[in-house]
Amino acid sequence: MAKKRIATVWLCGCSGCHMSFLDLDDRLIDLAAMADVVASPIVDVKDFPKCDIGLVEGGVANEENLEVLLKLRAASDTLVSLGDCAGFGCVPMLRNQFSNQDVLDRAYIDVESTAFGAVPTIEVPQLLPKVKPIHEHVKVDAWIPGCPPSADRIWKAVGALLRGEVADGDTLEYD
Amino acid sequence: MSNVRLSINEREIDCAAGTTILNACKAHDIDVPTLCHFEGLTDVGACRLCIVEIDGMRRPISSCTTPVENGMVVRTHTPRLQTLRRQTLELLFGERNHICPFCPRSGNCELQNRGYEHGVDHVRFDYLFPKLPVDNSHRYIAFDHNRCIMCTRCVRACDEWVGAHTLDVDERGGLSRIIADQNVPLGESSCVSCGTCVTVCPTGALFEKRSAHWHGRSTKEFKETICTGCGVGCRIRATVQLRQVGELHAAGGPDNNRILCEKGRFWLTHPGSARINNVLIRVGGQFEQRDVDEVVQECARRLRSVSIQKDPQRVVALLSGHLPLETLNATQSFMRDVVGSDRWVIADRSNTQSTRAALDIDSGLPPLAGLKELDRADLFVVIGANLERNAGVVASYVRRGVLHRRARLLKINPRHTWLTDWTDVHLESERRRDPMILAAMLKYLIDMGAADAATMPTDLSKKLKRFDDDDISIACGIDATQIKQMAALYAAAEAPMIICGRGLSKHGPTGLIGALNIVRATGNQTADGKWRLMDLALQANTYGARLFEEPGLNMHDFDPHSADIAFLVLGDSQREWPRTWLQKLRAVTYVVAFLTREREDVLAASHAVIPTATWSERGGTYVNLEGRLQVGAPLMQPPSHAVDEIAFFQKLSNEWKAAQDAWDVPPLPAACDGVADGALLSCRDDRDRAVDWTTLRELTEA
Repeated sequence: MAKKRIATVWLCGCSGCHMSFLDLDDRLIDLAAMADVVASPIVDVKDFPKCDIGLVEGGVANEENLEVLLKLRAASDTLVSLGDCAGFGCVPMLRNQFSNQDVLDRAYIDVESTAFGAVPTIEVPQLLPKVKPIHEHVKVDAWIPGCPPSADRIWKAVGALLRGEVADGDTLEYD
Repeated sequence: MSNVRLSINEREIDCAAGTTILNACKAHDIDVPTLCHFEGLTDVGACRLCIVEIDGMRRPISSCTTPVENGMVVRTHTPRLQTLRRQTLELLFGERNHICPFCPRSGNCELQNRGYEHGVDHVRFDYLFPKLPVDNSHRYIAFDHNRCIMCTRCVRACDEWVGAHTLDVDERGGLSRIIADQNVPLGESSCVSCGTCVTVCPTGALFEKRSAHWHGRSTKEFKETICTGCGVGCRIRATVQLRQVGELHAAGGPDNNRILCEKGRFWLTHPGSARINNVLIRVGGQFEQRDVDEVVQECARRLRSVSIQKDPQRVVALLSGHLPLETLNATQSFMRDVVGSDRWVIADRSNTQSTRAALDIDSGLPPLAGLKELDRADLFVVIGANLERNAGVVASYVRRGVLHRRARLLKINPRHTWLTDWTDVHLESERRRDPMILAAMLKYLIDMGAADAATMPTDLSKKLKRFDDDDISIACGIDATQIKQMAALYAAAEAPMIICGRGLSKHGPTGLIGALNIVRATGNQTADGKWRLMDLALQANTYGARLFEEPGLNMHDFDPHSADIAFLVLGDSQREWPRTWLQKLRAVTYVVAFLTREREDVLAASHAVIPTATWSERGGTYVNLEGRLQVGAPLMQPPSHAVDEIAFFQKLSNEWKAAQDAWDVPPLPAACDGVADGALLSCRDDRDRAVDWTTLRELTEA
């Protein structure tokens, strides 16, 4: 069997899902036998090469998130939503109750620990009006909910995908 | 009731007519998913998860609100229904802001569980992201509207069980919200803080603040025990996590019908002062950490002193009525059998001896109606009791009786409480006139022919004839027409219930005897021969303590003035005594306090302090106010510094007495023998007991 190609990306998330991915521990060696990780925050590649499986952590909060997501969608055969932010919006979507200006002012100017703060405007992506789960922007083929999903469930789902199977959904977890 | 035969999922099922399809399914182990349904509450069909297909009907309908019919063909789990259910769940998730990872209910959430069961791994609909508030104004409870699914279980429980109806629904459709009163913050509302809404909430919308951050599925345990807050003795289900007690919920059981009150739900877990972690001995005005054996030796030394040898009455003990029967039993036995003093008292502010005298405790438990009778009563007479404060669960029974069964409420109590607004007649009389008022009520009942006066001595009946309204107004210090009105309402009621609080027995047994007389003379008995009267026990084991052969002293008569040693076995007690009473303790030479938490006034009076196990660390036997024996289990092991009172007194006895006088802790009172947990203790048959006419005589002589 030819080695599969995996790409992972982290959008508006906390990196917890990637930490959980690294928690595969010794199973990473098994994974390496079955697949190559061709792009990832832990692999220094600027663009996504063609891949079989794309794992997305985090929701879509700004223009950059959206651009990266669209690129990965185009590059991967199977796009997998990894974790609650990508699947449900989760904590980042708390900001959706407020206007972007209020959120930025609060974070950069009003916050108690800051004096003479200013909202950064140079070389930072523009916030989108709402943080949304990735499937509101692109077609998603599979979901692994969890905050973060445990290494066991990532292994179960990714393992099934590598073997070309469909993992059953009996082990859902939202937290 | 006739039977109905229908088919559910190709199975022929018989059930009673009038049953809902959902209940028929439950009875036959067919698991239909629900969210807004809660056992014991009226079904409203709000969540649409329990939908079923019925042959001949175009659309699926909610099974919780549809009664069974003969010949119905029902299907509960067709692919179409499962698809609809999943869509409904996704709509619920998308409607508000549900974020599981930081929700205290995660792992124990019904919405989450239904999501798992229906494979909701994402929401296909666009999220609405409404801006919703979190109401943090209440002392114990927070309401996060972001997590509310408008199942209205809290609204129904608050109304149907608690009888408060603080919560209701505002607006309609997508704008609908749960509100308190006329849309005021929960903390400023008429909320009685019973926390029932938290228990029934399927999501984390209503949660207890204290344990809100205790998230984590793996370490949570659920354990059952008895509430030690008052004599109602509700069963509670506790969340235990990392050696701490989290939320307390009503566990049902025979008595409390799924509700708790503020005491049971929150006071137990909000103790308000620091735990005592060491044995403390006063040395030159300051407490020092010492070993418990030093206290034992010091006590033994003092017990050997000449003055105590000559007069054992110089040893006194004060026991909290919240302690388990085992501890009370050992301590009173130590006082009686080892020390030889009968100067011990169960601290219960109510007049122990007067209730014993009135209820004639020495000949067995009095046959008084239980809590269930409160739900059948069509009239309540509340006398000398502040139900909201002291027996919240009983207050709930009364409120829901007034609210839903249109029961009448008569209140004899000078104090204005919340319940006062609901009364038909409220006598603002002086407390000490209560016995007179009850006697006058009996006189009117006799005049109306509602009470049997056959056994009344003739001279008394002659006297009563001459005794008119004006005399009664003078004797009772209140307009007699009000009393007459009460008597008329009482006479007209089918199942009137008299609820007596400690205010009634404060001034001697006549008040309680007067109440009993009314019940006896009017023959107000339940089917099983119990009087429709409730004598509120303020402490968890007030009734248990009444099983002892010797009653101990009266709280109010008890003066520790001349004592050499006082044992204060208090456990968790916080507010049981008049302040003046503790000041009297200052005259005692040596005071040993058994406490769990710091209490400034007690510490100030004590010479030695022994830390003991708190309510959640000790199991034990309790007898509640309907005579039900209940055994509570410890939720966790006591910490190593906690000293067991029974072991302490055993040690002290061994240290003090010679081997031939060794004392063994006696078994529990014989009445408890062979009684199973949750069973009623047997009470005497009082059906033929005569009316005690002395109260009427006292009225005419007043």
